[in-house]
Amino acid sequence: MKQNRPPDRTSMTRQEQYIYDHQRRKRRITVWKLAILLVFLAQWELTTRFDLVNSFIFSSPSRILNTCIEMAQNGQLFFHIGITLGETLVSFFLVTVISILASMLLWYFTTASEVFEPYLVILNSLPKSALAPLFIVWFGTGFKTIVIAGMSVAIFGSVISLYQYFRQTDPELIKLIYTLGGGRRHVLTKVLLPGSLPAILSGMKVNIGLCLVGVVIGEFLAARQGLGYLIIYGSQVFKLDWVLMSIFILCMIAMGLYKGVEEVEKRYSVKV
Amino acid sequence: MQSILTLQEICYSYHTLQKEVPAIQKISFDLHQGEFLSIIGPSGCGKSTLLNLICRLQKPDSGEIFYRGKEDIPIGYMLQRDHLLEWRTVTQNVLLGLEMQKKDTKEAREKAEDLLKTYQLWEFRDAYPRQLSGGMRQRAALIRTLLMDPDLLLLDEPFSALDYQTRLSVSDDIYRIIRKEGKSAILVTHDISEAISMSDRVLILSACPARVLTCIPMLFADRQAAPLEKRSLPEFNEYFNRIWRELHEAKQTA
Repeated sequence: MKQNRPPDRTSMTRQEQYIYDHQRRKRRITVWKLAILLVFLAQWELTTRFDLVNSFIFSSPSRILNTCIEMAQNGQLFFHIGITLGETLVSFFLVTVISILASMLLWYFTTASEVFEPYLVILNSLPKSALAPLFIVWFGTGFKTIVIAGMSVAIFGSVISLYQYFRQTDPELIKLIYTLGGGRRHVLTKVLLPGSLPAILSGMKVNIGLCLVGVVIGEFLAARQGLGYLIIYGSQVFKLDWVLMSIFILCMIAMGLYKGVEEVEKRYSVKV
Repeated sequence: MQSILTLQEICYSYHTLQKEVPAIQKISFDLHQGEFLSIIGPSGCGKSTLLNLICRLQKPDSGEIFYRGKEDIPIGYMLQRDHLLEWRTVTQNVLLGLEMQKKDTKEAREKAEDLLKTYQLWEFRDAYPRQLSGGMRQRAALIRTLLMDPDLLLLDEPFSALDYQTRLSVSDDIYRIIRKEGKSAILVTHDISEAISMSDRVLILSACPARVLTCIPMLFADRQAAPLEKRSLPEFNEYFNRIWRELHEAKQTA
């Protein structure tokens, strides 16, 4: 640690001062970020230790950790995480592919898109959890239902925003394709798709989170496995350690998936 | 001289739900093989529409367009901005048209290489458009058009997005390239100096709906002069005043 002797700011050049201030600010932000988490965990642990709040209802970091280790040892933990993660990734993949295809079709068939527009808007603003019971009746209680629940949250918004992006493409750019002897198909493959890659990627960042939301809702209602099931089951049998542990793991999964898509986005947007 | 393009009493109107807006009224003219024609007129007078009609992107309401007797000749169109696709390299950009027409052959690639070398873009063949200057981008756009091997080039204010300095040198470049490749060209502009310095004839249009007011041949004693040099020749000012007067009178009577 070089903090023993703080550098003398006045003896620096302007550029050095700028870098020093910048780094100090960054450090301060990191410290605060971590401090909030630690203070939160510490007060939680202490208040439950000293019985200021009931650890049966509120659980505690150490109880969560113990549950975690216990369930990791008998393999249950990874099983449930795997199920939820798998369902989320499958529905995310399907949302991505279907929304790209659907918005291409909508763009291609202008009249059809105008006909479908109000339906898409309604379906998009409908609370998707209202549909989940229907899915159970139609598709049973299994993988398929959960994936569909996951997709239902993200797909309509994704189609609408991508289609809007297609429509906003500079008409001159489309004219260019025609002047070079291309057709409508080429407008799609040479201009719209490659041009909307940044929009597709940033849409994916939103969708991965929405899919997770949908999957957990689905698991609440129709699953015998997965973290959503663990939460519901845990609350019913008053195993709140399970519930809070699952929520913590969901936090980490959400962050991990977002970061993963962000990495993909960074890699591909450099080229554009 | 053989004419490559003949317009006969072309009319065109735009339609909105409120009304019909006539844009072009009975325009007729000829373009000779290898000729450089400028079309000048008040802004919004339907110049771009005229180019769209010639390029067959739109159909005239009445009147006819003949292309050197044939039904179909290859036409190149340069838009106001270069519209290079940002995610393609210069080479990929210039080959775009050929790629779409499935003419992306080895010979075509060689021709692209030649053109890139001739017009000082060879070093930048793998660069992306954002790494190029405005003039270089415009040259790349011209190569993209030339690779389609058009008999007729349509230029829709292709220099209007450039700053004045670049504009002068790029129009000089483009002029030389077009002459060298022996193309016929129609330049739409509202810059009188540009029209005089680049073209063999200047066609003056009225305000909307566009009619042909007059057509003035640009006869310079020094026929070999480059556009930039023409600007300092004695004839230049005469032509400038004459065109300015025509446009001004048209505005007064309108």
